[in-house]
Amino acid sequence: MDMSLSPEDREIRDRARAFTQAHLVPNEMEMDETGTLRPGVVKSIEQAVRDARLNAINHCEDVGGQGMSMVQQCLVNEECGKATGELWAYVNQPPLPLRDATPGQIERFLKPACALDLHIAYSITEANAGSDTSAVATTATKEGDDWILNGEKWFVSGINYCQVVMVHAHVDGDADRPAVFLVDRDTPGLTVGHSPRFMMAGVDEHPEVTLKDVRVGDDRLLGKVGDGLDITKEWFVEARLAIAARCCGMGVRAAEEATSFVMNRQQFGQRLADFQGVEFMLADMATRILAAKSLLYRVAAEIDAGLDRKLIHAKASAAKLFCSEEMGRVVDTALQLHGGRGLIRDFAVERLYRDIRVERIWEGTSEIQKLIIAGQIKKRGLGVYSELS
Amino acid sequence: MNFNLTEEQQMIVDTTRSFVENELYPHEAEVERTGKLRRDLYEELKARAIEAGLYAANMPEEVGGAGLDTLTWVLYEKELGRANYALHWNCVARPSNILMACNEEQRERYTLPCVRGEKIDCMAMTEPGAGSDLRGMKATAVRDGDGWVLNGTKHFISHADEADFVIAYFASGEEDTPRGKKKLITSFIVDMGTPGFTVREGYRNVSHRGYTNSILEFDNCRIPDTQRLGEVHKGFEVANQWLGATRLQVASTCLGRAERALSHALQWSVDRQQFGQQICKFQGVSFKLADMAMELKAANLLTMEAAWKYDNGTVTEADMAMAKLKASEVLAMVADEAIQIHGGMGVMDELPLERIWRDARIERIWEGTSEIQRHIISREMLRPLGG
Repeated sequence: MDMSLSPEDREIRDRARAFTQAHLVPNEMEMDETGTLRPGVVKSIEQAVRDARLNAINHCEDVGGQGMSMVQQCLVNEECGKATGELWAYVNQPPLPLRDATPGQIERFLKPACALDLHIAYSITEANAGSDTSAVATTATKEGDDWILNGEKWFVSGINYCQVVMVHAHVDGDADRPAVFLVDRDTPGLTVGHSPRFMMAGVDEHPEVTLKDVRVGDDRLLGKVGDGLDITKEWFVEARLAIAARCCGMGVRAAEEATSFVMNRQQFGQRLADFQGVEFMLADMATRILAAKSLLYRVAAEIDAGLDRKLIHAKASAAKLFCSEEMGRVVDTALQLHGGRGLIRDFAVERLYRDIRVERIWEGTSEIQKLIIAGQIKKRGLGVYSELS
Repeated sequence: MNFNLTEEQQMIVDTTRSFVENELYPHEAEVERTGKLRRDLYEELKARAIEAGLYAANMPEEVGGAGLDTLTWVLYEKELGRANYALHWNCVARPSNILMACNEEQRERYTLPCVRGEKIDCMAMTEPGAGSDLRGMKATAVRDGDGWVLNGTKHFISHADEADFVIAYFASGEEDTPRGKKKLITSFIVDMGTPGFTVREGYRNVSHRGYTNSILEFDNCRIPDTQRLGEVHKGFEVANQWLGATRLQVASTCLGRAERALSHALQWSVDRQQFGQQICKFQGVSFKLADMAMELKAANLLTMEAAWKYDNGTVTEADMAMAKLKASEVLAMVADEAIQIHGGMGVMDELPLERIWRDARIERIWEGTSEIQRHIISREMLRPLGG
């Protein structure tokens, strides 16, 4: 068993780390104070993403991506995830299922998205359909050669700065015929409504989107009718691994800041780091980080070695669950170690604390991950999780 | 042993609850979003709180307060604690009980105006280098003729920008003890506007938006001896004798907010349907609800018992530390699970949950971190055994 990083892996990690330090971290306070970044700043970050060859790390080189292994993608997501205020969202990762699009769709959507000239959002959730995608009420009806979409989506992340949105709908309202469509943001009938304010600051807004008789051509259907659930699942798997990796980044940064704080702070005549209560907290943080990263990178390495798609789904859920829960605890402990300073918004731990809460909710709550894991155990046996392969 | 509320207690609970729901809740969204409590709104709500008899109800009757016993006061704090902190703390102020340490002349100038709502007090102990380790404070008070000269910096001073004066603690000397030199502390009342005393804007905080904290700078600030509170070098004794059950105040406001979060979670779990049924029908949700209610009840009983013992003169530091520790940690847990039950809705600011969750965070830190409470609890058990 070789868990070491190759020289190439290390170079990628260092590149992502340097990029995050130079281009994301300096903008954290502007994002936190104003809830957005000035357009000029965004442009310069996007150029820096291209310059650092970190655009489309999840796609192959043929379409303009970086052709990275899953381990390498996790390294990049971990490093970029250290930045607060979702600034990692500027490091674009066009939805993975687009790799199976038609040649025409690849030219029209995927390639410009990989080049950071086009931004694509993905909309699944609705008022009554969150983790339960079978309850999606958005419909697609064939009319001549076109499709007519109707429905209301919630929490459409990134629609504020995308040009195209992928819409998960049910053909004729039939849950057994799910399909995903590529819809231009400015198509008549697509309106962006109420944009709720969230606890964390972020690049992406997550507004409601109404589709009223939105007409798209048949060339906007991704895959076939009936593929919708598999497409969305593939996207979920990728998003869950990215969350797991970013959570590790958040946990590592919080623990680093806390460690340096307690090494320097004196109370009752000694360093905080020399109180046993504090030593135990340091040990807990470090052990959680080691466990989370070990799980994440093991799953990533198995994916690189050709793990079966269904098992990827099974293990991605475990990685997302464990990393978001455990790193949430690490950030909480790191804040506690800072005492009153941990509550101040200028300190990274305060922002990480607000940022990390949503990771246990979006792309499937922790409870949904547990349902998936239990389902896999019942279907395939505990060995999926307990046996080394 | 009787766990029933008296008629009077029930009336105070009902009056306070209805004030909080009708007068404070409607303004929460504004304070949360702007991070500010408007002056005119503050004045208006304060007038209503005075009219309702809720303002400064913690203070003894002899100075014009409601003279609530500790248990009743805790019930009242619990109701107030349901609301945004800036709203309930500023508009329904509870002046520090330490004002009862004022001498007769100071009482006229400070205690009575605070109870009447004409003046606002604040309290300054913490320094950048001295948190729970108060004796590590660097701010000094030096005798100068018939007065004192104050120097130093205090931070994390709650609502100092709204206050008319501060009760502040300074190192006024040193004494030799078997364990080395120990600082002697004296407390003073310093009016805003005293030359050499400035209040700077503090830090933006994860919790309690709209409730400010400030940094206080004393630069050769000269005050007459008549501003001294209590005896020279007896600052901590003054605090210990008069400050009262501040930890129970933290505990009870936590309990109020936790109750509010739990009631949101219960309602949502009944209203929300997923996979063809109410989500409360899923064990994953109903077990969470059971744990939340059980933890909350335990914290409630712990706090009520400590308050009851306070009134009976049998309370110990550990009793109050346990109540503060448990209630603040239970609030964190209940708020966290309430968000989790709500899913995406939980982290949006349209429901009070995301802020109850953020607000919960400071409660495990101020008035002594959870770790300091554990230290107090264990020390009390171990000292008699020589540990």
